[in-house]
Amino acid sequence: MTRAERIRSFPKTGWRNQLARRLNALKKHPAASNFLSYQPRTRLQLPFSGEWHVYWGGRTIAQNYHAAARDQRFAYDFLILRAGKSFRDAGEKNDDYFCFGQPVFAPADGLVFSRGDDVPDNPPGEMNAEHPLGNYAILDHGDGEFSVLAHLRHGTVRVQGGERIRAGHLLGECGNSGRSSEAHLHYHLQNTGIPFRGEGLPVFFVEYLADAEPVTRGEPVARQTVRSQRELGGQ
Amino acid sequence: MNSVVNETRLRVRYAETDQMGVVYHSNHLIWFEIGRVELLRQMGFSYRDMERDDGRFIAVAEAKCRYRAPVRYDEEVIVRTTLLNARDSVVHFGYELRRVDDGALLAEGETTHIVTDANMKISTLPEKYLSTFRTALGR
Repeated sequence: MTRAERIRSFPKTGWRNQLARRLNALKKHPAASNFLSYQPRTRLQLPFSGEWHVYWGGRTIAQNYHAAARDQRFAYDFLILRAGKSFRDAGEKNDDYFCFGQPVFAPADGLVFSRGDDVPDNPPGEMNAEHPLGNYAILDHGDGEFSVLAHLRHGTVRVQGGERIRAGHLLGECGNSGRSSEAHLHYHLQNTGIPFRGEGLPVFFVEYLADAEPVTRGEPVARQTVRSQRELGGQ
Repeated sequence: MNSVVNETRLRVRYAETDQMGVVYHSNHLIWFEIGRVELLRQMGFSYRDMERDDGRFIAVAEAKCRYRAPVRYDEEVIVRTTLLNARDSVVHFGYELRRVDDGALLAEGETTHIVTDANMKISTLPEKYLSTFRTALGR
């Protein structure tokens, strides 16, 4: 594929200056990590149902701009594409985005270490640098492994701090709060419960389809379409 | 309230019980410390590094415990520790002790801690730690 073809084949999302973001990311280097060969103990399932697009994900900067940050070395951004677009109509309202309001589920059993629910969603194209995570849930899976799910929709985070939940439990809805310019789900695993502290851990999801191919356990990468093979939504 | 919480499981040892056949009351405060240290570890907070690199210490200034029910030998219990508040010189934790079997509340407590320098004079938390506490409290 030529460079021009690759650029043309990028999905049409509302991310502003998408190409500039991709090119900017290439100037950076992946953060050093002590966990490149770490095998997490937590069996993670994709935290949503239906088909989602991996917008950023993977171990290289080209696949994943997060990789430059130590805590987000193995992070993901997921959204929903239909016919190559992440939104309907003009994409001027959050409701235009296919993933906005979609349920987000716990990827594994855990204790709700912390949560936040009072950050308004941004209008598409704007970001809230003051509260980077926006509305979020951080789950303690034990063994020093914590899931971070961020940018959830204002007022939808249903779990309480200290609540013990099972994999597939409804956490809230996908939103556009925090450092987010269009609705998407940010997910990563790290070794502390405090955002922007500690080190990111590799994320292996189990039992999912990647571009319609079954994967028993793997790391999705940017531009794949993924879908969980697990039943989700248990309470 | 947005905060952080840790659950630590313990099994009551024979040496922790007294002549009445129940856990002696001072053990509850030691269990609270176990929970508090685990919570701090999960926050990425290294007490050892703070003492060594910054010369700051966190001293207990007040401890409260309300005993709700006796705890007996070999029972499994959970210490549930929450960060209640943190300011420049003061850190405040809350605790619940529950029996694993039936979830019964066995004790509740709080501790208040003062930040000091190496001479036991009141001091403030270094900014890097204070910012961790602020983030933990959702501020």
